[in-house]
Amino acid sequence: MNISKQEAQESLTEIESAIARTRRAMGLHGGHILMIWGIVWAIGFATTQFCPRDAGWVWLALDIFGFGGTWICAVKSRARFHRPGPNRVGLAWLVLFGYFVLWNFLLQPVNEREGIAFSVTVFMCAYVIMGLWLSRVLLWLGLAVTALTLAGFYFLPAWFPLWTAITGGGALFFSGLYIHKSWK
Amino acid sequence: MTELNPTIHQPARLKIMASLVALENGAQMDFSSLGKLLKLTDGNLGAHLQTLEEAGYIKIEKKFVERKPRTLISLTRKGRYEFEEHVAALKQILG
Repeated sequence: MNISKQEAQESLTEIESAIARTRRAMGLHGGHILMIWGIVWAIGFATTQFCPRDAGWVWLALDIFGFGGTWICAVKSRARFHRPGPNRVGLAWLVLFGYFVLWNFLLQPVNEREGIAFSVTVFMCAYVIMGLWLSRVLLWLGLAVTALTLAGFYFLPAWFPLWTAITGGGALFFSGLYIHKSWK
Repeated sequence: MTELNPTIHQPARLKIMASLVALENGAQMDFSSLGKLLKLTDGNLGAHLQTLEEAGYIKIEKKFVERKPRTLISLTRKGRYEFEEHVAALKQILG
């Protein structure tokens, strides 16, 4: 079987784009999960800012919504792409969440502002690490939200929860929307 | 010198194989997801999958996932090897 150099190049390009398309399709549910947590952060931190007395139960309800939505997305993804063995990305998030609870207990951030900065930066650290392996969108998202969180922590102490609702929640939601639109 | 594989080189089958290579070893892709991804009709996709299955390059399994019947497709070890050989032959042509 003989083909020209141009045909060989076209075939290789086709192979690369098919591989990239599949990888993006596998990560599509990640975009939906980002959107869910963007909504959770936006509503949760805005409640912390404006209705601090109701923040406890609102966060509880939002976390149930967040974990429930994440579970549904994971199940849907597993139906499309059936992987052998455990879901390592899911397990990694579970481990991080466990350590986050442990660090919170050990370090006990002394005020609300420190608690928010601690929570956001721990999870953004995970996005940066995931971004190094999976996608640049996650890498830049993690770095940008960390930088915005530090800026708000030092320069907008009185409005820090609202600042986090807008920057953190907004960044998660819109990067999820970007993945949803462009990775389809 | 490695040879081009005529079974794999057909454009639709090349895309099918490339999509399955992107999955980790042993992972499976749902039939309808593969069709949507490659913009192939069910009939067209089914025919190409049959050719690849007969060549021993892919494995087609029907099972229930989340209580729904699914047709799951995965690459065999032979399929992965033959695909890599095909890519090597393409690169050789480019020099």
